[in-house]
Amino acid sequence: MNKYRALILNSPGARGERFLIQSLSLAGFDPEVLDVQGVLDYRIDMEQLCLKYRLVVLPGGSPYSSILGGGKALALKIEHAFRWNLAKFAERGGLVLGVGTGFQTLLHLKVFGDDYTLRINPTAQVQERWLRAIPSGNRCVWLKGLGALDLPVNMTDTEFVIEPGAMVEARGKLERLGMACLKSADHEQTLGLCDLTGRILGMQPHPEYFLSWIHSEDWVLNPTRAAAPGQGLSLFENAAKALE
Amino acid sequence: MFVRVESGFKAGFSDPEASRIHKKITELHSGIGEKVRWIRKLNVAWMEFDAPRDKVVQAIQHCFKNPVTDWVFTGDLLPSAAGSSGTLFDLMQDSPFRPGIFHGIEKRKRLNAHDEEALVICDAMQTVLGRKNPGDRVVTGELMLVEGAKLTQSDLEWIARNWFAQERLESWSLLSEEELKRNARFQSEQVGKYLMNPQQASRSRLLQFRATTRGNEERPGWAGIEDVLLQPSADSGRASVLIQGEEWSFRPDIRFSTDKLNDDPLTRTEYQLCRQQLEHHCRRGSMRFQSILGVLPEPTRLWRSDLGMESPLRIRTDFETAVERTAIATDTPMALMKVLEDLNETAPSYFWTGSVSVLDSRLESRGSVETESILDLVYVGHSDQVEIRNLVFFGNLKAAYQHSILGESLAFSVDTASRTLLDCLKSLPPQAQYGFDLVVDGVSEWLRKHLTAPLSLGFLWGVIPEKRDWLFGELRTRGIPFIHFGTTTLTGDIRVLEAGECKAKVNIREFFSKNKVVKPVVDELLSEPVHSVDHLSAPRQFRNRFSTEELVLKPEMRPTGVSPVVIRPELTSWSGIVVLSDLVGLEFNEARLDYLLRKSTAAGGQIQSIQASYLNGIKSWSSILQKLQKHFGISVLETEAIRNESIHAHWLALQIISRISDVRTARTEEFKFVNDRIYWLPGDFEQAGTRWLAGFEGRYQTGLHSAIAIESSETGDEPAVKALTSALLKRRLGADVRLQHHFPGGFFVSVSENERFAVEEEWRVVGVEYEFVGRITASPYLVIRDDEDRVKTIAIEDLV
Repeated sequence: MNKYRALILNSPGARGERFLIQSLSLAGFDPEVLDVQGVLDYRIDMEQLCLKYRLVVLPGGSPYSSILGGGKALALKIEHAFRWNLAKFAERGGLVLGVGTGFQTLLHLKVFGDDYTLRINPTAQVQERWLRAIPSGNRCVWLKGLGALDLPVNMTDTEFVIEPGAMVEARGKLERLGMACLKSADHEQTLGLCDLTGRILGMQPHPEYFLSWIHSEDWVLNPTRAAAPGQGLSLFENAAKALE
Repeated sequence: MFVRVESGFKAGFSDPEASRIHKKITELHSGIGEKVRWIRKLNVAWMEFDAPRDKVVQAIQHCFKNPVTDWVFTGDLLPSAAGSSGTLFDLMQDSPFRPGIFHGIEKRKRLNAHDEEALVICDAMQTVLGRKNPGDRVVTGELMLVEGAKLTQSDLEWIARNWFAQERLESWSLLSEEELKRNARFQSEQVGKYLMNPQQASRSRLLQFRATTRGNEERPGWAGIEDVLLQPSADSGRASVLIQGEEWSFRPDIRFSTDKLNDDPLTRTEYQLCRQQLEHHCRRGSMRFQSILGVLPEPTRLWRSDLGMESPLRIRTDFETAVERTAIATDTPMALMKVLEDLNETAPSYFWTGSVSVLDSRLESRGSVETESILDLVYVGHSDQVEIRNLVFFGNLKAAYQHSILGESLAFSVDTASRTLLDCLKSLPPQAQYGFDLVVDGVSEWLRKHLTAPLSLGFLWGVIPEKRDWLFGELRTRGIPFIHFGTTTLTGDIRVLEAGECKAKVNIREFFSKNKVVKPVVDELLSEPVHSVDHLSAPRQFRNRFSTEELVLKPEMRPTGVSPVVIRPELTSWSGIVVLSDLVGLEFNEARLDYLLRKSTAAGGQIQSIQASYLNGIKSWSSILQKLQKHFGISVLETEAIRNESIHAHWLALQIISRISDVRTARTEEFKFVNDRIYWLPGDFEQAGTRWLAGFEGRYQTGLHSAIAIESSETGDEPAVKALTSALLKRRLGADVRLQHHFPGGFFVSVSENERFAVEEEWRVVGVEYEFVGRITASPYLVIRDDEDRVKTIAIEDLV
């Protein structure tokens, strides 16, 4: 079986690329890590991107020290230096995942529209916890067939904000089109969005950090499940299935 | 174009980061925390991009604008990005206490501090603009918007200093509500001010410092006493050249260490030498030191010991290590001045060290005054109680006292604080026990008043007549009022004299028998803690050992050639010394010495002394130095003359020490600004130009941007051209000059177009000869025209 090539777009300050490599490898991808300068050096333009890679992952962390806002500087690079259009990439059969600050990068790239953003949480401190995320709707190929997911979140900007001037319209769009594909357990908070094709997913929790049950915070309570795969892995397996 | 961008959350959104700052302020200082009722934080960026306005605006929109949550304030550049008015007034509307009283605290990264944020913003803007320009610059900072009706300026300063700004990396300023509401801070000139290149910035800082100094030098108003001083009876002392803060002295010492170095080639030798030298000074009552001079071989040269073993030690590096270790061990600021290449490969390595120390004048100078001599009675200090609260005055008074003691001009000193003149006279020390005359001409009112009314802070001094003029000059220069109201006598009487006639006479025995003699209280005043840390009495507390960069104001000069180093020994005063070191061989002559002296003067120093140490004989140098001592009164100290047969060389280590009244006014030997005018000033030692440059006369020396000494020569214009090129080299500037005649030494000085009129006027008044030579240009070529209009061009780039 040919492995699909996946690009992990690294940038100064980004974290988690090793976990992403592991998760993509486990799901059957051939992951490749390139940093921003590498993309420029290899001159990977939109055409090259579509030809070479089937999946692009934007990792979390704090790329460019989150100066100008989390993921903003990376978004500017993607838009103005690489001249990539991720929506078109998805239309041509590619998959895109943005986790954590990568989700913010997707928001800055306006792949979900320009009325949404993430802002700093009220404590102004990094939120480092596990939460239960419930997939919603059936548009997103990444979340197809998945139930509730326990995933870690590790971010400062965790508050999903909709433009106050267009609140009703923008919220209605999310619900009506099934773009709000990942919600918190109480359905109050939007944790993830997918685009209209369902192939671009941005999410606050980090599925790559839960590849095995031993990554779970309560795995010691269920030591018999130590060898079982983690819930995060299922997203990447879904991605591989979607590409077949 | 210059742009200032402020971005922050919209009024409808809370600001968690600002709330966190508020919480922290409350934890640290609950009083101020309560006064702060509302707080907001904005990110600020000052930017300069060489791009069309519309493109920059577009780039700002892309980079800074998050339309969902943020407002971007850019003056009038992007009005749609902010609220209804486009100013911070929109944000202030969010405050629960409207209309409220708002304050702004702004901080920005210092120019030389690493600014990661600026780099990222610059990169992002360049990405959007689609090109990279090395001239693009960004400085970042933050603006905190605070509301609190009861907040005072000191509260805001406390917040800025203790919580908001990291002062080593960031500078801060307070903004008033009016400034916040207006958009003046977005103007190009305002923004450009923060984006100046470091050289310009340091120049501007220097000017700011000078402005503050001028403020400090203002004399307190003592109108009443000044009238008295202007009376014809008041002494006419000559104008003193010593300006301020001369309470420290120096004791240079040059040591030759070949033998000791041969004993032990390891680093610890130099370290031990430094230690020994410092301890040696400690035993002599010195309190603080600046170890200065290291004349060492090239760092790459291998050291050869007497044992014939080649050691790969790099002595210079070791010496630097040793200096650092000594600085730490002795808690002493150190400045390594100069490193010379040892050209004689066969000779052992050697070095000299020198130090400048602060002497404890009180320990060393007392007791040298004869008791029976006739003394002048002088009251020094204010009559006005209000004025004594002025700390500047107090500091000056203390400095004057210490300097007077050092100058051996005082026989006794009685503290007059809160005591009547009668009490003070009663408590006079034995020097006045044989009688004294009170001369009331011009000061009768003051005498009458204070015989019974208490005096304020001050001294009653017994001044030695020979030193009287000098001392009065000192007091005048420091702006300290004094009243000379009598003399001691040997008549055995107390007499009151008016217009040369004796108006009253009392036998001193009767006077003292009727009035119980109070034990004199001397120097009680000085025990009062004027400064929180008294460095003189607590040298070990001196915690400034790593601030060499501050002490050596011209660090870039340290490793190269013969250049003066400016050192500020006393942290509470800006006065300092200029030290120029050189190691000369047999070729040393008068012209070379003259050049060195002029180099010292060009830096702004008033030459005080020359220290010399010889190796293998004095040769012809001694006569040169003696001539200097004889003709110009510069003291020459020959500390050691070592003869070492194993070294087939003759060396003379020179250390020229000058005083400078304010280290901030020290000049460098480089042309700095395009379009500055270049003048030539003749530079014989006794000439008016030299005196003016040294700061003996005039006050517009600060108008000079640089001063360069020209090597003496009998013929040809090579020294002049050499001086010009070396001054242009550092900043790769050019100049267009007309050298119409031979320049036998002297100085080249550069003056800006704006300041030239004031400077030229002063030159005319003081009698300084000057000649306009040319201008500094931006193109890196030195264009020289001679008297026949022949042009010679030297490319500075080639020299670089």
